[in-house]
Amino acid sequence: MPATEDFARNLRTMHVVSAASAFALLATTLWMMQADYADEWRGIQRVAYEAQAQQIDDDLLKLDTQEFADKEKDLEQQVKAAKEAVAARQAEVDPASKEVDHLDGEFQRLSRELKFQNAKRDKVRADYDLKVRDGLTSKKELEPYREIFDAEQGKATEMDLKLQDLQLKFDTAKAKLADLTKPRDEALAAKKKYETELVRLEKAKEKIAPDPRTQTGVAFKRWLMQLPIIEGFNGPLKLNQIWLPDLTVTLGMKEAARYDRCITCHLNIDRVNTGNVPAYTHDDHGISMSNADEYLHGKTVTTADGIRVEKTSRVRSDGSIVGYAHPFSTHPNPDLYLTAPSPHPMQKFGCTSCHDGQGSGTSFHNASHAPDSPDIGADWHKKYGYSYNHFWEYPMFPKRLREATCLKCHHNVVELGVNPKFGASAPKLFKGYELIRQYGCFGCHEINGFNAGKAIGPDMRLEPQTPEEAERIAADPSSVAGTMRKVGPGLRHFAAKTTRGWAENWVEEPQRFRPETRMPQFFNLTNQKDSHAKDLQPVEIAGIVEFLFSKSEKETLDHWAEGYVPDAERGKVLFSQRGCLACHAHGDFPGAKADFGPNLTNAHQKISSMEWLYSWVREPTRHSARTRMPNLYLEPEKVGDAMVDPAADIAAFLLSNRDADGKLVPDADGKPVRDTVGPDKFKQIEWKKEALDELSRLYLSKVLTNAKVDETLKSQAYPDKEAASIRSVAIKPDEIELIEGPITDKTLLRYIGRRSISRYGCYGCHDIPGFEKARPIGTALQDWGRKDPTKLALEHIEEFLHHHGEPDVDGKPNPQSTAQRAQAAYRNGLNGNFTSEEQRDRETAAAYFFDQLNSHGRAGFLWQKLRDPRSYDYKKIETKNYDERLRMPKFPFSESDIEAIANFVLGLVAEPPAEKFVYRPQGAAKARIDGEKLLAKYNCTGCHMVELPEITGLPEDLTPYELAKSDIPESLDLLLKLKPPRDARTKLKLPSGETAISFHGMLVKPPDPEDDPEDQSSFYDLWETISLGEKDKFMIPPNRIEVKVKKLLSKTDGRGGAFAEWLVDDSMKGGGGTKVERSVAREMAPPTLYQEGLKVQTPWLFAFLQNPDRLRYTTVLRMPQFNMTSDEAGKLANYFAAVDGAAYPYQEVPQREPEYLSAKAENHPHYLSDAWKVVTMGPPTGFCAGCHAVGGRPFVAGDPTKVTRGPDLDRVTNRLRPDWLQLWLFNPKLITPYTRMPQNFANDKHVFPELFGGNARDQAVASRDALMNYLRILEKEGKATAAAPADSAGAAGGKQ
Amino acid sequence: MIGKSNWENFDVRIAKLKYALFTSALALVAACLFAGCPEQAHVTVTIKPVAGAAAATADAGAGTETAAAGFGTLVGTVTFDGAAKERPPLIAKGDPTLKPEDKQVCAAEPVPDESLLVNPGSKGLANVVIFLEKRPANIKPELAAPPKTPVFFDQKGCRFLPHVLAFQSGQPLLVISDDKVPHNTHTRPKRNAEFNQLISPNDRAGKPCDYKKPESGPISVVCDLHPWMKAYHFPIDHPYVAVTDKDGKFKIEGLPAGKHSFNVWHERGPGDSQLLERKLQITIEADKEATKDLSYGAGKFAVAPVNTGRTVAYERLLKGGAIVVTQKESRP
Repeated sequence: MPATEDFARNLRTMHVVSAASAFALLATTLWMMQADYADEWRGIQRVAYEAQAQQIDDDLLKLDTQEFADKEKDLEQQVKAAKEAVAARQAEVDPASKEVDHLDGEFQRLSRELKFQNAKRDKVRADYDLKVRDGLTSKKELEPYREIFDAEQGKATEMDLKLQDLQLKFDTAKAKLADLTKPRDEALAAKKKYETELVRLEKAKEKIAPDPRTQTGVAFKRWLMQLPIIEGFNGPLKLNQIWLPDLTVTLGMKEAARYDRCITCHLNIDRVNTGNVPAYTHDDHGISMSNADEYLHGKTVTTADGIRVEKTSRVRSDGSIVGYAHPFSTHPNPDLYLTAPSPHPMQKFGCTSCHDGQGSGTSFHNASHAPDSPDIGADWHKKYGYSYNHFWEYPMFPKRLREATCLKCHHNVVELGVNPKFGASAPKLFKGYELIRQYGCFGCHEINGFNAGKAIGPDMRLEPQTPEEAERIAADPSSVAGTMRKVGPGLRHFAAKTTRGWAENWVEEPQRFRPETRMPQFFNLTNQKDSHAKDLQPVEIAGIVEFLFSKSEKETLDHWAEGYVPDAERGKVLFSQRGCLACHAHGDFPGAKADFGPNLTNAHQKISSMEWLYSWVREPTRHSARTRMPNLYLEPEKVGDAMVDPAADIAAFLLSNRDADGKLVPDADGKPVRDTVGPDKFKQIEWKKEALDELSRLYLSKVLTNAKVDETLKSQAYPDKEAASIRSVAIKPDEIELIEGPITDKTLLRYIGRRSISRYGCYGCHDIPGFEKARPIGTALQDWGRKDPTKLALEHIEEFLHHHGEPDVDGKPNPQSTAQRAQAAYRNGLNGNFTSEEQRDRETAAAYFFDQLNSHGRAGFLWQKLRDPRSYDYKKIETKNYDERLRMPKFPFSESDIEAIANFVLGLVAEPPAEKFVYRPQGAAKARIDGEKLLAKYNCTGCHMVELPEITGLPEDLTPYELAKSDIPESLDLLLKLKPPRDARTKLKLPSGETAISFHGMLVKPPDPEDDPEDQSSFYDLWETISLGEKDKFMIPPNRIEVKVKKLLSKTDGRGGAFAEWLVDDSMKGGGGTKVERSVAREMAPPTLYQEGLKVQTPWLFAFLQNPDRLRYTTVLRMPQFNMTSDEAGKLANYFAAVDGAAYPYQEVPQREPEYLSAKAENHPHYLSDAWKVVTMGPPTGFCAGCHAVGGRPFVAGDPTKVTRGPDLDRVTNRLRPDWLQLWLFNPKLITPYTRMPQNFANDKHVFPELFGGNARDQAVASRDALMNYLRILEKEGKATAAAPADSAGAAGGKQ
Repeated sequence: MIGKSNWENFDVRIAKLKYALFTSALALVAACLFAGCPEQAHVTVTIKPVAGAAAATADAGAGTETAAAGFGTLVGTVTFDGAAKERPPLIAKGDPTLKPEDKQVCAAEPVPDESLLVNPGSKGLANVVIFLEKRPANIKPELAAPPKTPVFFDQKGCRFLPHVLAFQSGQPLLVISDDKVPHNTHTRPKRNAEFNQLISPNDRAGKPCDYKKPESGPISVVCDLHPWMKAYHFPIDHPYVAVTDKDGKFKIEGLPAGKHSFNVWHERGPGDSQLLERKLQITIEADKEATKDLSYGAGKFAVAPVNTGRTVAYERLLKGGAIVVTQKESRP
């Protein structure tokens, strides 16, 4: 086709189309740019920068004072004056300055030349080397090249020397000039230094908010760079991100580097002021996006004369300062989070590793924020268009569950609850861990902290249950044995203890007998209310008890001495004194509230055999090998001329009859009588024969055909073939109960019992014969936090909670369902209608979990499972077999307990980060953690106080300590070494405006309520050394501190020792028979373990913990022997040293070294012999022997009411650390204010003039050295002889 | 009328007082003849306001209302209203249960129980402390500063002498011993730090036991080596305190005229404070002698805390239950 001039389309039309499409494209591009430019984070950043600028302005305002201006002016004047002074000597300055310039130029030139010269020399050196390479080896041939090199090298050296000379001249000239201009330079430097803060602030301001009037250029640039499109070229507003290639995130089963862009909006999150305090304090009602304009630019108000803008005050009417809301606030606790010196620096840990959520998201929605309750979610929806982000698998944890993620790296958990540096950083999570530990959840739900030998999370597994299992684990280097003990009592010898009637009643509903028990309820729950269950349940209960009784192994029981009459009244006192109350509560002692062991008020209704109880309290491990009940050494003992058997008396007390008020019921003689009814009053449960048959049939049909089942039951004999095969297999099925002898109702019951124990997993908590090898029955929890929500069996729970779900009120069904409760909480949350913060917390939690349950979230499932485990069987039992019904028992957890447990369980994700992020403490930190676990395991803190009470207030007298005449001067240095002073000043203010101080000490006297209110004071003994800011001035123990009630801000109870404190109070009231004074009462109670690590040698403590011998004779009880391994004893011994920063596991005793002793002997011949005399000299001349057995001389006790017996001194050499002992000998009160031990070596008195020249200090040092070399000297010197003849009558009743 | 009868009463009391002073002086002379007089005057310390020099800083005493200038005296007798029982000694002569070295010293003579000393004749109660509750504003100038002469606190026959010792805080106190066994004198103050030092045998020079601050009432002093030993110290910040003598008599001189609030203490007084009387209002007139006689029934006196621990607890336990001496145990 020939070419034509025509166009295929109308050109004009085409132009229009083209133009239109160009406009459309432009519009689209602009729209796209606008949309991008309108990202919410830009707006947030703008406000954040304005807020920063406002803070700078505030700080600048602080500098904008007359004082500052005056000082500045003054400095300005000084500069001016100095300049003038320098100018006056201009004639000298000018040539000096010129000289400096000249020399500088010369120096530069010469050094440049030297560089060239060096290059030249290197070139000729290379020439020489090349010639060698080319085969010129003779001296003659090489000589010319060598000469050239030498010449060049010579020049270079010469120039170098010249340069050095020049340098010297230059330095001298500079120094001369500096000397001339010194006043001016110094004045300028002073001015600059004074203005540093001002300059810093101004520079910071210029960077983020330049003033267009004074910094026009910068301001214009900033404005320009924020314009659309242009801002793409490194504008001031930009995305910030932290890149964490090693701290990966799992994206659809693939590990990818983590990008956290959270700091794009949370711009101030790591900003701290001096002192590491948040620069932008968080305040929920502080500056936020919605009110920022008002706070930053002022409020627009309409007044009569028009509209004007008013500056909004940042101080509220109640005096509080308006802080910053999200996202403008700084992270709380900068000591622990985000800052570089903290353990979690932001650049290393990012944000989502702890908070979860989508780190790459840059909008509120994409970041996957999570509201703490539905009402907050609704509020967010309104404000930020919040909705649940379905596309991100790991949304942030809401506030109430945010501690869960700590578990990823903190597998030991306890450091999050007890931490010397940071306190309880995750208290809720720690509470969850403690609950799981105490309630023994791991008995059914294994929490395995290892996967193929690799640590993946907290490890809470039962210890090996059989010797074979223990051996197998020990032989396999990749396995780690579990450490948890079964939490319930062992049932191996169950029949010796109680009756079937009591046991059945207990199994059915434990709380009926003991409301505070931790044993969960298995029966009478929501899925057992139907008539079918009502028939079958009694058979299960009777079966379990029948099994336990028929399998119970025989236990040898002890009996008290023939003719001994156990005395319940005496038993009551012994029960209170011998430490039972450290773990058990009892109704007769309402003040003692321990709950480590069961409450024993009703023990007489449970225990059928007094012999059993007698044997149990004397030797608990005989009944239950793994019990944590220690051996309390309740051995019969001689008191005066009589024998007392404390175990028998205590058993009589616990088993005596009580009246309705719980008082011991006396018999005709006025003495309490042994319970005559006891556990027999519990009738055995009634069950139906048909129910037994039905249940037997149900279970048998799983292993036999229906025909065989019929035949078995009819013939009362298990089929031979099947019986034979049961006999042949290693792991016996439950049917083993049926194969021997005829099948009677009793054997069937036993069979059902065995099946039920298997089904309900009773052996998870109890040692039951025949179940040694059984495995936990529940779902393992180590990765439950990642459990696929679609696999949660939610069943009809939503329907159930719409109609039910709340516990009965006063025995009547609750009219409110959980759904209604959640609805109400939602509404009240929106309207702010809660009556208290506590109610808000409780109700919004319920609404949160309910909402979670409805959206099939793990947290919701867990919540309801722990609240009412069987509710998931709602309308399901109709279609299930009886044995398919849910079997998780109901634990007595409160909703706050459940929230704590949820924090823990949801944190179990089995996704440990790279090894370097996992917290693996070493040394003392690890020893502390190991020890903390054991303190909890054996309830050491039940008896012993391990941290002293902290008192905060203003004492009446703060006079610093001055040495008394009697004090050996050295004792203060030693004291300060052992107890370094702590700054006691606080930031707290009394109502009077005075500043409070805080100190650790023990109460000496509480306020007397009869005193005038003005005069009411508490008195404390100071146990630590404190400073109040003045150098070399301290308050030291045993300073007695008076704090007036009106000047006391707070007082803690210390940590542990509740029993000791109870016993002190009881002894003072005369509970032991006679009232004693407080300090005596303290000596009767378990000692405070304050700075125990500085006191005792770790190897001694290790041995003592395993086999504690009697140390003190003033206490009313002995340290019991705990059922712990040597490994545990070692860890516990190390713990005390680690806590106090003392050396462990071994200690040096320099006083035993030959160098030390020979040096001593040089100045003092027979040093050790004389030292030995100081400590062993017989009474009445000698001091030590008056109260202590020492040097092999037995202690002659006499009447125990008429002597005071101190600990035997033969132990000191292995027990005490030398420094501690020395301080103790100098003045015991510097260590233990309440002790009876006197200050024996007073500086102002010569006690033994004939020894060591009568020098008290030398005698005290010698005493320590003698005690530290005890065995060595004893070997050499032999036993000390008694000074006074032993009187046979005087020794009567004395303990040798 | 009332005033008149009071005056009559006063005269009678003065007569009685004179008689009592006379008889007690006689008794003292007799005691000296039989037992040998104590070699040192400080063994029988009677607390009398001692003349001081400068006037002390006056902080207003809240419990005192002084209307007129001038100073008066308060005298009186404290009696025990009930049957005075002979109390068995704490340590009998030759007590065989003591440690051998103690026996020769502590059981040479019986150690009396001084916790409730009643004169069998007059029913006068000894060792009651009567003191002005708070330091008054206008102390008689010569009494204001604590005396510089030391007070001695002695130990003899494993017994503290005196049993109750009241003195002005700031006045030096020396603890001495006349026994050939060591004692550890251990104070249990409330405001001051504890003093617990070993006193060497026969230390007649003494160890200073200074109270830097006043106490609000008498505090106990014990010897832990001999737990039955117990006495009381009362460092007080003014001179208006007296301890009743063995006839229950007391005298406080130099009191500013006005209405005062007194406390009456006895070691077996009720409660933690051991006060028999709190804020007893007495008006003192200038240059006159006011009389206040006090009498308390047995019900007012509790059992005082003791200095031993566990063993005493057992004592009661043994009384409570039947003890069988057989020692056979069934344990294999």
